[in-house]
Amino acid sequence: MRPLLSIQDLTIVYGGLVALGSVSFDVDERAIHGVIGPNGAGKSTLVNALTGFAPISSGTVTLADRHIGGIPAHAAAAAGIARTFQNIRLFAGMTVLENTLVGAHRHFRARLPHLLLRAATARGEEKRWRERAMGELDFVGLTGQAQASAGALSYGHQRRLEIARALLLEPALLLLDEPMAGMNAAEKEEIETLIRKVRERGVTVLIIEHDMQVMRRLCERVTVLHHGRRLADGATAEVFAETAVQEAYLGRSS
Amino acid sequence: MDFFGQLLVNAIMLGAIYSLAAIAYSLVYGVVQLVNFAFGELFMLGAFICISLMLPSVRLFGLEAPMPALPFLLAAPVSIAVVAAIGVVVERLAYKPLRNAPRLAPLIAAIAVSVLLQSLAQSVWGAEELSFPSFALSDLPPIILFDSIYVSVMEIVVLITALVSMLGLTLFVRRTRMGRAMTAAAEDREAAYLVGIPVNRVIALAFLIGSGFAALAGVLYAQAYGFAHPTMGFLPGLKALTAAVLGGIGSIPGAALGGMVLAVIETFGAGYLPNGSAYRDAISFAILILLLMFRPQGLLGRPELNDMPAGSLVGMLGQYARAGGVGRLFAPIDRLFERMGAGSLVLNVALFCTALALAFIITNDFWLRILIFVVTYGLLASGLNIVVGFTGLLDLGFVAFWAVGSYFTSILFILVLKNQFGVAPTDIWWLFYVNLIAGGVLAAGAGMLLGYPTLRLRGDYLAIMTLGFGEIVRIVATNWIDLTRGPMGIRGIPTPSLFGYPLNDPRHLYLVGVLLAAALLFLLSRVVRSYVGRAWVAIRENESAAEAMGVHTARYKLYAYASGGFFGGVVGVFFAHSQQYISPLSFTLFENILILMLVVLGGLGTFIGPFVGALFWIVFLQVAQGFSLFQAMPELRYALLGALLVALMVFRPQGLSARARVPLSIEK
Amino acid sequence: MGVRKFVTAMLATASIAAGGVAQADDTVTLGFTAALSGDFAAFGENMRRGAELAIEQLNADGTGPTFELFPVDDRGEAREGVLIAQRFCSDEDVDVVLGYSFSSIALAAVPVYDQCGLPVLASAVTSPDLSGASPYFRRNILTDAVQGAMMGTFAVETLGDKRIYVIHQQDDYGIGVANAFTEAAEAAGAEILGTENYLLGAKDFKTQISRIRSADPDALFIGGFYSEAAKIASQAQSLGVDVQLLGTDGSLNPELVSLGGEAVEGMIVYGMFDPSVATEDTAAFIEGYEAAHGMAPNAFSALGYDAVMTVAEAVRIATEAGDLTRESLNTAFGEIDGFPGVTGPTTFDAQGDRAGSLYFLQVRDGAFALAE
Ligand SMILES: Nc1ncnc2c1ncn2[C@@H]1O[C@H](COP(=O)(O)OP(=O)(O)OP(=O)(O)O)[C@@H](O)[C@H]1O
Ligand SMILES: [Mg+2]
Repeated sequence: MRPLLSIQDLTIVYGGLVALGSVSFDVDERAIHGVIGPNGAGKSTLVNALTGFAPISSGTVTLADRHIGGIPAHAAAAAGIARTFQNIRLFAGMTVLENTLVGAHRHFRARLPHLLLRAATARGEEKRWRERAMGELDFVGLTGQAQASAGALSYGHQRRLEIARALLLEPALLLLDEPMAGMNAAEKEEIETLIRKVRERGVTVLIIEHDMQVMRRLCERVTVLHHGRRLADGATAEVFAETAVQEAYLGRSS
Repeated sequence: MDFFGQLLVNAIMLGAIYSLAAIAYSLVYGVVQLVNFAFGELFMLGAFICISLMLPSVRLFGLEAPMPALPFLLAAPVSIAVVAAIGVVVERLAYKPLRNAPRLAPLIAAIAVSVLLQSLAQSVWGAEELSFPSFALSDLPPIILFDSIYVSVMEIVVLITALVSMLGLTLFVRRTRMGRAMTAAAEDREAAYLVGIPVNRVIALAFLIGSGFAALAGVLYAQAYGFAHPTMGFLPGLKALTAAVLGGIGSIPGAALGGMVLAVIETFGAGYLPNGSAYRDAISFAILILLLMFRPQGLLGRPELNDMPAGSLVGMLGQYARAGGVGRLFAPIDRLFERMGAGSLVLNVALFCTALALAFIITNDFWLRILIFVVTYGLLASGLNIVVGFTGLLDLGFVAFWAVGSYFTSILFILVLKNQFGVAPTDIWWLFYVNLIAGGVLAAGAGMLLGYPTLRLRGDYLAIMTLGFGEIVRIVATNWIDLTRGPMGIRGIPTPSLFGYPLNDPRHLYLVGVLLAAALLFLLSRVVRSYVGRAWVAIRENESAAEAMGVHTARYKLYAYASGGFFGGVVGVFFAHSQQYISPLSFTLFENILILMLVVLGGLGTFIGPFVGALFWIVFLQVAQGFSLFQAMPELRYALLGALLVALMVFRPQGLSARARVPLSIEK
Repeated sequence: MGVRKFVTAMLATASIAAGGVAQADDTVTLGFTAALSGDFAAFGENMRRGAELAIEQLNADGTGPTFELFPVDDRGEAREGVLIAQRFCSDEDVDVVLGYSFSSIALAAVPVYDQCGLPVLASAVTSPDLSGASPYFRRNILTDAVQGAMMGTFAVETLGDKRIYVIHQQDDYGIGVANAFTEAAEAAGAEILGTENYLLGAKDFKTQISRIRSADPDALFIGGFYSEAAKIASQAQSLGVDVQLLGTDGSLNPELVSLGGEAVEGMIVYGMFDPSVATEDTAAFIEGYEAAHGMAPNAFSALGYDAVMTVAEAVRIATEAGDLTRESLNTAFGEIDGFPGVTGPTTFDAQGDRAGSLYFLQVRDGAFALAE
């Protein structure tokens, strides 16, 4: 299978701190790919680098053979990468539906005159994406919440909303930074199911998560980061079996 | 040579004062990351209190009050102590409740405190200058260097005082436990809190010392120039802020250096550039802007200070605001606005018809004129609201667009067509309608142009830079006499007319205003209720998330500036033709602050809010003139506005019509 | 509250705000507006004191109608100019308007008066732009162009200053007087060494003064208001500039001396009135003014006083010819010919301007006295 995302010698330095040091790995198309590692290992930095939020010091990143290293965040989104944030970043002053619609931003084509005249093109695409958004809200389990204020949602629902919003981008690659943090087992299971359904729609998923049980079930491949270095990379079962990984990470958590 | 030498001496004296005030900004910014705009007013209070203490009696609230007639050396420290205490009280009441609020809240609170203190001082001490009494030291003859450079004894005292107090502060910060705690809190407030540093006390201390420095600077300034005046703190406050940014805000040696460098550049610029003294303040603002563009960390500062916690005032409904009883107070208003904001066509049409009907119900031309102002300011506030309310960018230079529209049409009609080509303004009545659009487009272009350099900035720095632009435009309009006729203004601008039928009485002008408002709001609502509006609000709520969702935030910010500018330009054209006379007097920073306050008062990010704010405030301004209290102290009205805004920030940052929330898509 | 009720309430407030207690028909109401608070309140206050005195005397006399002053503060704000003019226009009791401290505010107000046909007789605005601005606008003060020119000639021919530096405030007033002064002084044979300007409200003049010092002039002409003139004088003194200071009527104010102290000693300014040269006719004015206000009148008090007296004369002419209306009052102003006052006789030309003479006053021992 051809890799969708290919990372080569990616290095990110903050001041003197090497947050990522020469990390390389591939993410297969339509895979659920896990990234694990202890706190401060550089996982979020990796997601940030892929989405234009962290300045790349050296290395290359390609998405479907296109170089995307160092492009600004909005361009990364345009290239088909969507993400969620480790610390939830919703638009608190907007409704749930409006939040989701921002995810569809890149699909809108109407120009200023269309908007001012509310031309058929403008009305049509607005209607189309509204319906899509309602669909995504159903998909993530937020049925009936469309008009609620995003800031007033429960924590778990906020996580779901972030995913719905990202999905409306119609991404090729979805990056999930600890989407289950702070959830109980039942909630985690629901999100797990959700992620599988996302993949079934043809979206490649890269997920960061600290819960190893979940990761063992969910991911085909995992990459292990430790102090900004790639410690291991491969099929989930193999990687989990490696002693170095167990020492560095699993030993502590299980 | 004596010119150069004298300028250098002048610059050093000015620099010493700037440095002291810059330290106030820097110290507080370092600890709480807030540009406390009110330092300019604390500077002014220092001067007033010191002078008052030195006199045998002073007129307070128009009444003669006995005073202790202290000697300067006693009055100065007492006034500094009093102002330092005021600074701490201000922090406690206005800023502390907002410590975890979005950055816009304390920033607006700071501007409101500034308006409050200045207006209050004017009510207490009156609007005229209070001259600085002479005393033994000030009466000594000047020292003459090289036969031609004059230095007064007090100037040497100023310099020594500045050096000693800066040295003292440095020692305090380095050597004492509290001082080191302050440095630690400046590095990382959370961490400082965790390791047991009493953060609240440290912040209070920073305000105490900062306010003391501001007061000291004010006392020395008042002595040097011989007077105190309620507005005296405004410009030196901005200069000190510029100096603090120049030196690297947050850094004490930086502030000292920045003050000196700024004073030198400003003084020599004024001395050697052609017509330099007229553009003196513009030079400072230009430096500020260039600095923020190319080296926001200043000479000695660290780069990462300039970012802002995400979130908006509007998104904070009930989150940090301690509504309580106030919440109940607003409940009926909320219900009303909730219905309005839902965008019901019937309600909007009814509102529009009511506005039109007012023109016929009200028979008094005076009240119609007031309504014209309500519409004008409501529209200006709506334009600013696009930038501040929807997109979340604090813009203090908005009046520039208003000025662009006004000047564009006036120059074209009067200075070019009438004076150069002899075209009678009444013959080209149609040009007014063309100019509404052209002026709007021109101002939109100006909005993009001025917006571009601010794109990378957030929060405080953005506010400061836009303020700089606004002031530069005003200074240029005042001094470029060949283009604008400068302070003389342009008169004889024709009123709007239709096929030779003049629309010049207040009723017609009001109707034109209402139609204009309806048209602009209609267009705006179409833009806001689309992906563009959603992108704006997304930027306001969380810029990085917006960017991650594919919103080209820089581009949409420019769109916001352009749309705001368009509003400003169109209103400017209307304003010029309804007033028939314009001068730079209309486009001051204070007007900008007033417009900002109308938006905040009415409700950020709503369509109706700016008009609610304008109606409330402009009608109040007029009605208040009927009360003897406000007749005796007209400034008290603005003090009231300042106090109201602070309270609003603490208890209800979303403004009066918070619930008139604008839906960001077409309802189905 | 229904819309109608609300509007009635608003109108009620309006008439309260307008001080509109019901008045008998034979009362002549004089609207008065000027900066009565704020930085430049002194001019307005002086005019008001003069006007109040005149009204007191007219009413005590009892032969004519009752006069009443209705003062409104414009705070020096452009926005207020239009609103106040409209307030007077809409208030049918107001027959004529006096006052005005700032030309720019008067210019903003003129179109409104023009429209409602309310005559204005201003006393402290000197911009040439106001000449012929409206058939309803007149003033009893000379324009900048005239006053500045007279000072220019006086400085060169009487004082013998040959090397003069000019500094002026950057507005209609400052630019107007400075240009007129420069032209007249040059015509009289003086050399203008240079011109500096500053914005109204400026505090720091050291740069300009350092440059002026390098030019080494005999005299410095300050075209501006007393607050800045006082600072220029004291900063010049502290920088060792010792020249003859010349000022304008903008500096003719006791505040100049209280702010400037000994630095303004010897400074020469001009005005249309001087208490020290009181003739028999003006003695009553000075006496009455000092009794009423406990201070000596200055040119602006005198102009305010004369303005009211001129209105009384116009009212007399108008009532003789028929009904007293705004229109008839306006016509009557045009018919006034050489009406005597404490600032000399008043006649308005077609432009609404008045011809008159100037007094040159010098600060001596902390007070204004006739310059020798
Ligand atoms: N903007 C930044 N500036 C400086 N250092 C940073 C920045 N962002 C991250 N770091 C540092 O880079 C390192 C990696 O951080 P990162 O957030 O990627 O870790 P992580 O693997 O996501 O940890 P966690 O499991 O806690 O989320 C940390 O030491 C962090 O302090
Ligand atoms: Mg992380």
